[in-house]
Amino acid sequence: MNKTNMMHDLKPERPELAPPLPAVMMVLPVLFYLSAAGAMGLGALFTVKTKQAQTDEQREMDGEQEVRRMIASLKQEQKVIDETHGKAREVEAWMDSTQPLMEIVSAVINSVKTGNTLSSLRLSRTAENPEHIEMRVQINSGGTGQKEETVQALVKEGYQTFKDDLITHNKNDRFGDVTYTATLVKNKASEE
Amino acid sequence: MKLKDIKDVLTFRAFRPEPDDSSAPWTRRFTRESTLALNIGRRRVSWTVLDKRGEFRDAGAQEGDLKDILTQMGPEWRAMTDNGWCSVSLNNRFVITLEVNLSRRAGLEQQLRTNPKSVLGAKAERGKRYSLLHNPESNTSVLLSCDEEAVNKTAAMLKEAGLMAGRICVGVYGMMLDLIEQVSEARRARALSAPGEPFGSVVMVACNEGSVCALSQREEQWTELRSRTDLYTDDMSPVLDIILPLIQNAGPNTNIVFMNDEAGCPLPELLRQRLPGALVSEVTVPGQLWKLLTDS
Repeated sequence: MNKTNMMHDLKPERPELAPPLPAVMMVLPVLFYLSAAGAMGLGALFTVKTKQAQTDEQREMDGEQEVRRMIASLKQEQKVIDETHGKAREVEAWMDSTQPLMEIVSAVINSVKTGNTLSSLRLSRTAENPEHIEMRVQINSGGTGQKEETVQALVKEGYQTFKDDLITHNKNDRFGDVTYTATLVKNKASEE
Repeated sequence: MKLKDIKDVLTFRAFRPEPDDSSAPWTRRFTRESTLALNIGRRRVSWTVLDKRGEFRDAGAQEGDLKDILTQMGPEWRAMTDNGWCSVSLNNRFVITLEVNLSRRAGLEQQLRTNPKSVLGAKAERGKRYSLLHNPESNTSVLLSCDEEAVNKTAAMLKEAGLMAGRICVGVYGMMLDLIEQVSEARRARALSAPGEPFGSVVMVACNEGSVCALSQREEQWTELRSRTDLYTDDMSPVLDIILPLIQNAGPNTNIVFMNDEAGCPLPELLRQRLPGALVSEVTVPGQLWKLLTDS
């Protein structure tokens, strides 16, 4: 006789009394709790990973911003350098323009052969383009021969002529009067 | 499927017997749960709590009727338990008798609960609830009959106080069954150790706060049984008056096996004084009744 039988029960038995579920069914709540714990663990892991990814993304974005700032800064510096360079070029051009015209005058005068004469020599340059020297020479006698002599003398001095123009009654007149206009530019190679 | 069913599965409650399933041990029904044990007499109620660790604590007793005590102690008792379940020992409105030639069909215990007349025949009374134990070696049986009204009323009063009776039994009858089991075991052990040697006579005495049940056994035969409720309070002499004739009828060298609801009862000493040389064995353990009520 076991103790349950000893301690008989006199209360009326409830009709819908259900027997306990078999022990093997305990696997169901155990699995439920395991899956719940697993879900929570994975949730926590995902949260940590998400936060980590967000931190990394923020760091990358900060890095990108920094690079953008550096690029902007470099561009600003570049702009300043370019401006400075432009100003230096202007100064260089101005300095070039300040070269004395005397050597051109000397070269032209010295190129005049004996017996030939010049009635006028005009040299001019503009502020916008001071490297270009507009030259106008009126040769009374000597014609195109004298003009070639003058151009040769200028080339020797290191000047290039372009936009040449020759005003004469007869192009083949090598001794008459001609008016020669040209734009002179100092050859850089000759300066060095 | 109800929400409660799902909750019971998730809390593993569904894998234990239901709280009011009398076929299951108390400790299986209430695993890691505080429950109350009550011993209800006509003029006295005692109680203790079986806590989650399986230990008894907060024992107490109060003189008076259950109804009056419930109004005062009900909320406290309810607070002592987790879910309000209690195991009740009724200590009045029952009779224990010795019967002969009762039916011993299979499934009789269940039938006794639902249709006692089919088991007890003309001995069954209307408005009674029964429990019995057959002597496997003779045609005698110990029969407990208890007023159904007392059972139902006790359950209803407890329910009003928020307590639910998981078990309602008669403590002194349970103690007597325990004594019978212990003596049977001793007989079996003696038969093995000294085959053929007579076991002699035994008088088993169970006392529970005023209730007494005494059963005389000669060899394997149950010969006489006496049972009283509300017989004594502090003075044990009325108990002596009941059991001394039994002991004398049992003959010389009778073993007297005594069990009380709690250790420290003076009856064994009184018996030794009254019957010098009597073989008195006390088998009471601390919290005897509470342990039987909660199968622990």
